Formats: sequence, structure tokens, C-alpha cells
Amino acid sequence: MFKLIAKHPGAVIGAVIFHLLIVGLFFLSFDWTKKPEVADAGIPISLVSSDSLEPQANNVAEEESAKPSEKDLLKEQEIKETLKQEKLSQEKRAEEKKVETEKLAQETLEEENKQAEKTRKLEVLKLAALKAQNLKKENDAKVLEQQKLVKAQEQKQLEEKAALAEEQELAEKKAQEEVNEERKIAETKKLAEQKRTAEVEAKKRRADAAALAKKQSEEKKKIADEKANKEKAAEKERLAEKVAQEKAEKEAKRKAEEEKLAQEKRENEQAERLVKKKAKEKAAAKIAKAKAAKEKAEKDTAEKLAAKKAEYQRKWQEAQIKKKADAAAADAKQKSDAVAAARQISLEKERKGAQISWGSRVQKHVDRRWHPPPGTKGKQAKVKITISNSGFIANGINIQSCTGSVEFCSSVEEAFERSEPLPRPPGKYNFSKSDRTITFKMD
Amino acid sequence: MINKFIPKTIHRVIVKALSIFLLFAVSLPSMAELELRISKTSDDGIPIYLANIAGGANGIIEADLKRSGRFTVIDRSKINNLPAYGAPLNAGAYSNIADYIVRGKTLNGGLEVELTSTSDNAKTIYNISSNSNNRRVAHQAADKIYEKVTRERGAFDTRLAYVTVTNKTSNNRMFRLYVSDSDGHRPKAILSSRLPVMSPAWSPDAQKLAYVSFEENTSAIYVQNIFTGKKRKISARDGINGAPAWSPDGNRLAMSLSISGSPDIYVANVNNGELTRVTTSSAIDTEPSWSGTNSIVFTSNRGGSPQLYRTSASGGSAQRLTFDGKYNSAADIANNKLAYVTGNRGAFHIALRSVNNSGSDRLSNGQLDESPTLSPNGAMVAYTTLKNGDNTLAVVSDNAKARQFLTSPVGDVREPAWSPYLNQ
Amino acid sequence: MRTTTIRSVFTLLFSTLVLTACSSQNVKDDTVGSGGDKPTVTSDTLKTDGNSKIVTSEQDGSEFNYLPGTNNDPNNTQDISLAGLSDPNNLLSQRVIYFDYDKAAIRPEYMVLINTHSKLLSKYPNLKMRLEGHADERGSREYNVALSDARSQSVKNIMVAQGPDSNQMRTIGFGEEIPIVSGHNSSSWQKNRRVEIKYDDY
Repeated sequence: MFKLIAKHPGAVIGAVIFHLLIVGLFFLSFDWTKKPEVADAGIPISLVSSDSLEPQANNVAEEESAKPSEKDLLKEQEIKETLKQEKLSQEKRAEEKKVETEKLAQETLEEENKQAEKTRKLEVLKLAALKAQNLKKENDAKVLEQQKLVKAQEQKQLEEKAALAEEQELAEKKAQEEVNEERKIAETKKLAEQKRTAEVEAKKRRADAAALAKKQSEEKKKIADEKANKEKAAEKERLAEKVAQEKAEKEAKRKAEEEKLAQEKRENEQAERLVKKKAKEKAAAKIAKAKAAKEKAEKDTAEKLAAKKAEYQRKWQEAQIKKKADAAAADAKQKSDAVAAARQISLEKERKGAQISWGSRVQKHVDRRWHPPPGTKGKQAKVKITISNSGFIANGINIQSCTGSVEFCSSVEEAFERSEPLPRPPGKYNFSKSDRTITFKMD
Repeated sequence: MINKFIPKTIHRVIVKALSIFLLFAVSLPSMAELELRISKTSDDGIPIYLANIAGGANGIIEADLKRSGRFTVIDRSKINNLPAYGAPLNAGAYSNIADYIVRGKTLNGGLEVELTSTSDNAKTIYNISSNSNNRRVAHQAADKIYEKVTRERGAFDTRLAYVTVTNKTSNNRMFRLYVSDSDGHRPKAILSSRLPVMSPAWSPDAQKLAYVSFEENTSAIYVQNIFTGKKRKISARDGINGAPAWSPDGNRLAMSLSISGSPDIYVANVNNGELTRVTTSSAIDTEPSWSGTNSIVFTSNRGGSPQLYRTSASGGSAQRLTFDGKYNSAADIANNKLAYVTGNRGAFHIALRSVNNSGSDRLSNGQLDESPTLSPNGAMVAYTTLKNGDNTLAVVSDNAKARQFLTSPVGDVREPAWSPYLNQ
Repeated sequence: MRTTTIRSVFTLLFSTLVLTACSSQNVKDDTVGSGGDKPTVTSDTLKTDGNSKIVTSEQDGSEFNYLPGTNNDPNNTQDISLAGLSDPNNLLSQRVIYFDYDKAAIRPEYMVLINTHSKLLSKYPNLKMRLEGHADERGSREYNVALSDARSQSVKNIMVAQGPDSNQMRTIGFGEEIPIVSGHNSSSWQKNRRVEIKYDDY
């Protein structure tokens, strides 16, 4: 898998750039938009890989499980490839995606697949050879451990059961990988996902398993030998089955899974035969249980995936709808704001107009009641009054300036006294005190 | 999608910014305080609507109110189907037409008049009792309305005295002294003479007229009761006996006598004939007019041309009041206003000023306007002006906004004198 | 009695004042009078300028013959007698003296006429006359009464200076009340600004 990546660095770099671009656009768009559009920001990414539903689903699964399982992922990779792990660890998420897409492309090329299978086999064999004992011990330990844990946890936690089943599955899958690497290739994604989901628990178990492994090293060694033999046998069988399986695998995954189940039965039978030290019946029962649990788990995971997918799609649709609705609402709000603003402007204009027309009525009213003494041309007075809502002068007649004689100035005052009650301010507009305050220049 | 997205975002941002700006711009604290100008030169009055009153009193009231220059009488066609007097009136409905609505009816030979404010629907009802002169009833109603609205006393129920001359350039000329209502109606001659009759002056009680008559081929001052016709010669000294003017207390008559050689102002006690000399110049001093109980404004050419001066009624130095123009004379004073004749570029006009302040307003535009006389409230000035070759009576409001020509008997009309308020 | 002496002293003083005023105005009036062909001044001029109006009124003499059809020679030796009063060719038949606007001063051309009448009064001490002053319609009425009275006083004062008893003359000012002509223009006004000499019983 990683060799593939190494073989196609250009594709990896392209993919990285592509993702960076998308992330960049994500941030660009995120910057412009409001809170609810954070959800929207994820959409372009999913759309990029929306060619097939599976990658999309994987993406979802990855995204959802990635954060809590990063460390576990690393460990898992360690198990597989400790050498390349460090290099790949930084790029892992993006690379994996690319690898997956590449794999999909590779699947169409059988030869390449074969080569890949071979390399995989070689790798596995090498790994088995180099770290066979440890790996097998761990795996066996896990199985034992799981069996024990299953006993303890079955009744307590459904999740743990599922996890145990997954652990068994891991062991089985490794056996299966030897038998059916193609299936493995097809299922790696699922396995990875399943592993990740189980990783939290697996982590703990592994820690325990390390302790147990020391005690049971002898047994593990035997198991490892048996497994090695088993693998060899499985390889032969696999080669025979391969042609048929390839055809089947090209069909829907569910069929593949069914086949897998059938294969698993065979594997189990083989495993039972091989492992005679442990109680066959119990083991078979346990395995059956484990199978059932596994099936359930698989179904559950499939269902979960489907549910997640559906949910994601639903969310996406909802997000789309919400986005549209938000956009429409925002537009509507802006429009209504503009309308409100326009209405307020017209209201203010109306108010202002009302004030002016009222003012001119007041002006005429006072003007008609002003009897300035004769010969006061050019004399001026400035008077400020506030008119109450009932038309009376609220705080006295404030003569701010007057250039004429006492007679003239008192005529100005008398004009306002004579003018009460003045035209009332239009009550409709609820004029403020300053709205009702008028300065008169009288000349 | 991205391409769409960004412009849309920008659009939204722009729209939002704009709307925020607009909201901010229009939601400023409140409107500015108003600043308005009130100019004396505007020429409309308080709008008032007069409903028809049986007997036509409303017509008399209308003319009175118009003449004051303080009202604009709204054309009757502006309101249709006004509820008849007695029926409920929603005056507020007419507030954009008139400030007041007047309705009324005749009642026992008098009038009942209702004044309603359209701003607050406030009603005032006046009952005017009957009078042998039924026009006076209407004038009295006009005074009530005037006073209620303007808060100064009305002077419509007053009288005018004036002189007419017929055949003025022939030997058949005839002088008549008339007394009429303040609107010129109901003129009644109280004296006729083939020789000049001049300068009628009302006693403060509005019962008597002092006047100058040349009926004995020399000037003499008489006082005649306008009701009884009984007359008394007050002064028939050598030379001029002219320009009588009653003191406010009615006990003294200021006049112009030339017993010292040139015409001077004297004050004669009406009761005992005691004479007090007020001015001592060798120039012409005439046309006295009382300004308060102890001050007299008069015309003198002591400065080279006729000008107005003021002095104490008990004598002493005189203070010149007019400086503009070469001819200022014939002062008449009421309510602290001083109407006079002013010669201006060869024409003579009526001018009005305050007694104490030198500024003046020109009230008339005729060529030879003369003999101004103020209504007792100082709101109107009657004077004579040439019209179709003869002098006729005119009344102008103190603000010069209204001017009416009064009807008068045949002849050249001259020297109107406006009576004080009538007690009866 | 005392008042009469004071009065006569005053009139003497006044007449001399008037005469000096007249002499100072002689030159002006003469020069104005020489321009007999000046355009007729009508009331229209009233509308133009106050000052010019007064000047034109002073120029009224230029178009108005103050002494129509008479021999104005001061050395003429006409019959100064009662009979002369009824002789149209006798200066005594001329009994109207005209004045300038707002003036009571006697124009010099009237001095011979006034002196002639004064001589008659002196000749007949029982003869009495009234000097009736008038003004044109311009200006206020009582002022015009005073002005017209001053005009008659002016004539009287000149006459008294010639010797007759002041009691032989009575003055009266009618103001603008009795105009000769009724027009409202300068030609009417100049005819109305006058003193009429009226002998009792003649």
C-alpha cells in the first residue's frame, strides 16, 4: 500500500496540493460567511470525492473517527510497518485517501493487483518472519484476551462485545488475508475503520496483552507455527479460490461479506483443526458466538455506516436547505431592513413635513396677532418658545434678543400672549420637546 | 458555486452596510428645532367666518372686522351647510378654513352672537341689547368679537364728526358739520353755515363737539352738544381762534390763538374761561393734540418749516419730534400712537408713529391726504384723500393692511374727527 | 389800551422784518419773473420732487400776472379817492395780493398796490377794510388758517406803516376753506394763495 504511494509520489503531491486548495477555499469561504455556513464549508470537500459513494462514506468515517484514533492508527501502522510509519504519519490522512483512490484504480488492473498482492504477501511474510513471534503472540494473546474479556464483558457492554468480535475478526482477517488478500484489499478500508473504532479499547487490551504475552509465550510460539503453516495452506487454497472470489468480489460488498462469512467458517474449521490444545467445542461455540457478534458488528457497522451516510446526506441536504434558507432569510432580512429603513426615512420625512407645516401654521397664527408699534421697521427680536401639546407656551416667552424700543419688545411678548392657545402640534407624531421648540425671528 | 458565492456575499455586505448607514442617518436624535420668521409685511389677518344673520348684522360686523386690518373674513361660499345658530357646531371641522366661526340671530331688537374657536371649539355668546340705532348693535357685536380675539378693545361702536362743503367755489357754498357712525353710515348734520366750519373735536365723553366757525365773519370756537344742539362760544378773540382740542379730563381746551400777534398754543379752562399760554414763539404754533393729561404735541414752523413739537400743557420749552421732510403737521394721538400729515416730494401722506419713538410708517399713498384722526384704540386712522376731484373719507388700519373709503353725504368731505369710546 | 400799543409796536417791527425779507427776495423773484416763457408747471411736478415743487410754487409768478392790466408805476398820479375804487382803470380796483407757497411775505411788485390802498385809508379815516387771507389746499387746514392769517397780517403791517390807523383794518385767515378755483394743480393753487382787500360798504 505504502509502496504504491512511494511508487506514485506525483499523485500524492497532486493530491496534497488538491486538498490544500480545497482547504484553502474552505477557509476563504469560511471567512466570508456566517456561523451556519461552517457546515457548508465541509461540502466542497465531500463533493470533490463524490464520484463514488464509498470514498465519501469513508471520508465521513475517517473524519468522524480520525481525531480520537490518531494514536491508535499510528500503532496499527506500527504493527504493519514500523519502518514507514514515521514518514507517513504526517501525511497519513491525505495519503490514505489517495492510496484508497489509487487502489480503486488499481483494482481494475489485475496484474497490478497481483503484484500488489505479492508484495503484500511478501511483506506479510517478512513481517511474519521478522516479527512473527511477537505478532502472533500478540494476536493470539488478543484472541485469548478477547475470549476472557468477552466472558467478562459480554454481559456488561455491547460495545466491548463488538470490540472483542472485531479483535477476533482481526485475527481471522489476518488469516483470511493470507487466504484472501484480495478480499483484504477490498476490506482494508472497512477493517481500518473497524480497527479505528475498536482502537480505543484495543489499546487497553494491547497493554494488557503485552503482560499476558510474556506468560503465554510458549503457547504463542506454537500458535505462530501453526499459523505459519496455516498461512501456507491458506495461500494454496486462496490461489484456487481466488478466481472465483475475484469474480464475486467485483460484485457488491455485501456479497463479498457473505462469501467472507463462508470463508470464515472454513477458516474456523481449519483453525479448529489446527488448534487442538484448546477446547474445540468451546472454541467453536465461542467462535460461533464471535461470528454472530462479528456479523452483528459488521451489520451494525454497515448499518452505522449506512446510517451515517444517510445521516450525513441528510445533514448535507439539510445544510443545503438551511444554507439556502439562510441565504433567502438573509436576503429577506436585508430587503426588509432596506424597506424598514426606507419606511423610516419616509416616516421621518413625514414627521419633518408635519413639523414644518405645523410650524408654518404657528408662524401665521402669531404673525396675525402681532401688533408691532408703528415705525419699527428694521427692528428685530428673536424669541424662543416651546409649545405644549395642548397649544400653550410651556416655559415662558424667551426673548433672546430685541433691538427695538421697550414698546416694540413688549409688543413681541404680547403677540405670543395673545396667540395662546397656539396651533397644537400634531399628536400623531409625538413630537419631542425640541421638536416643539421654535425660534422666531421677528422683524 | 464559489464564484457565485463571493459576489453574493459582497452584495450582502454592501446592502447591509447601506441599510445600517441609512438606519443610522435617519435615526438621529430628533428633528431640528424650527426657526421661523415673522414679518410685519405679511398682509393677512386672523381668518374668521361669519354666518348669515337675519337682518344683515353680519355684513356690518364683517366690514368692521375687515377695516381693522386684523382679520381676514372668509368668503361665505367656503363653508356649505354650516349648522344654523342653535344647532350643534363641530367647529374643529373648519379649523383649516377659519380660526373662528361667528353665528347669531336677532333677539328682541338686539343681537345674540356666538363666537366659536375652531381650534378648541370654545364658544362665547354675546347678547347685545336693542338700540334706536340698530347698526350700533352690530358694531357692538363687532367690538365684542374684536376684543375677544385680539385682546384689545374694539372701536367700531364709535362716531366720526366731519365737515362737508357743497358748491365750495361759489357764493352758494354751504358748510355742514356731520356726525356719523364710525363706518360713515347714518350721517347727521348738526350745523350748517355759509362760512367755513372747521376742526371738529370730540369731548372725552363723546357728547360734545368743539369746532371753529367763521359764521360771524371771524373765527370763533364753539362747543356744541351733539344731541341737544345747544352750543356755546368758547373763544372769539381777535385774530385766530383755531384748532380746539379737548384735554383728556374734558375740562380744558387747547387752542391756537393769535392774540399775541402770531398764533400760539393756549389752554382755556372750559368751565371758567381761564387762559394759559403754552407757547411763545413768533412763528406759527397751531394744531395742538393732547398726549396724556399734561403734554401737548403741536405744529410749529419755528424751525423754518412746519414740524411737530411737544411741550408741557403748562408751558415751557418745546421738543421737536419730527425731522424728516419739510412738512409734518396735524398730529392726532390715541393709545400712544401719533398720526400726522407728512409732506413728501410734493405730496402729502398720512404717517403713523409712536409718540415716544421717531420711526414712522406711511399709511396712505394719496396726493393730498390730510386730517388724520385715530380711533380710540389706535388701531385705525380716518383721513381725507382726493378721489374724483373731491376729498373723501378713508379709514386705514394702523398696520396699513386694510383701507376702506367711507360713504358720506354729497360734497367735499374734510376734517374727520374720531370720537372716543361711547359710554352709551 | 396797553395791548394795542404793544401790538402796534410789534406790527411795526414785524412789517420791517417782512420788508427786509421781501427785499432779499426781490432779486430772485425778478430774475424768475424775467423768464416769462418758462414752461408751465403743472401739478404733475408734485410727483417728482418736493424741493422742486416748492421752487416751482415760488415761481408761480412767472406764469401768473399778479397785477393784471394795471399801471404799476410808483410815480403814477392816479386819483386816490373813493371814486377810484369803482374805476376799473384805477389801481384801487386791484384788491388781491398773491403769495408764494407757504409764505406770508409780500412780493415787491405789490408794494405800490398796498401803498395805494394805504393812502386811501389815510385819506378817509372812517374807511374800514378787511384783509382776508387764504391758502391753497396743500398742507394742514389749521396751519393754513394760521398761514393765511399771517398773510393778511403782512398786508396790514405794510399798510399801517403808511399811516392809517390799525383799527381801519381787520385781518382774517380763512385758510384753504374758500378757494377761488377748485383745481388740484399749481395754477389753481397760486390763485388761491392770496389776501383779498375788502372795503366795508364798497
